[in-house]
Amino acid sequence: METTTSAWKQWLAENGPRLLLFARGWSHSRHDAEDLVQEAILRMWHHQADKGGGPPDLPLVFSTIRFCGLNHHRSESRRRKREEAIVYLNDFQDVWLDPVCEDDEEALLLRAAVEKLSPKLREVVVMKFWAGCTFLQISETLAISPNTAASRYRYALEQLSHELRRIKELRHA
Amino acid sequence: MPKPDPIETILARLMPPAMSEAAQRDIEDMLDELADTTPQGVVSAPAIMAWQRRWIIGGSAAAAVALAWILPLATTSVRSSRAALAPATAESNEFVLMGESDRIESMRDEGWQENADGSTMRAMRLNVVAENSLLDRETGIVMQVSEPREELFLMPVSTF
Repeated sequence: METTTSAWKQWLAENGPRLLLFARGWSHSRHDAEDLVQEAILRMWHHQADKGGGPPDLPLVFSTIRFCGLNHHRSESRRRKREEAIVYLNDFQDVWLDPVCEDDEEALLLRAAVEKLSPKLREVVVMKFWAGCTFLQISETLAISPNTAASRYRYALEQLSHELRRIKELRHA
Repeated sequence: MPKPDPIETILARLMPPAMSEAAQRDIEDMLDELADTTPQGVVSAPAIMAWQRRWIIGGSAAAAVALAWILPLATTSVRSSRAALAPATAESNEFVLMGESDRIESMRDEGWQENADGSTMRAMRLNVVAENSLLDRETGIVMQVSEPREELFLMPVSTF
């Protein structure tokens, strides 16, 4: 049992950031995203018990995060209706991605563009680029065809490229 | 090997941030607790032969169907229903609910739909299988009861 727990912890250390990034698309804040990841891991633990108890495949966890996110969205909608009068302050430190070099202006601009992508495109980019999933794995997770996954990825890159060019032109104008 | 898109080279200069220390610790504590509370029977479930498990699940399903037929008959009189229910309650104590989970079999995006108030909703159709793991205290065998269902989620769309 000790070995199983160690394997899960090692798996979490390796994949935690990827799962967190994916969960951001299904939550309003970093804190909510971390809760989603925890909920998904709990479900995965029970799911894997029948399969030897080892850590799960990454695409399966992405599917579970989506499911948990959908469930969370339902209860969140109900909660929001109750709390409409409350004004939420924006947390400007709550970012989805960190630049490798702090003063990499181009990367910072692109980070904002990634956050602005539509959820459909963003989840494909996250799974392909940062989680290293194949288009086949992405298609199975999102219940779309591999061709659709590939075309969404290409379209997302085009949008990012266009957005980056637009922001640069605005700055230089 | 295809040349990477220029945007991909900039994306490579971004990385997902690590989870917060608190969240990482919470999950690790949860894993420790799960490991402590998970009985050996559940983890060693694969040791039960597949054909044995099929027989157990099949037997459980047959027993459930039989019970569904017997219980309405037993409620024809108060006296007889008590007699019928007493052993059932005693039997249920022999089973321990080890875990319950919802597993997504498939998820289909059904596109955008217009709500009655004119707002746009994104519809997702899910095929979910609820699974309960029951431990028979006497034999130590873990059984799984599956219940499939279909759900349609409607989410408000705020960004386009």
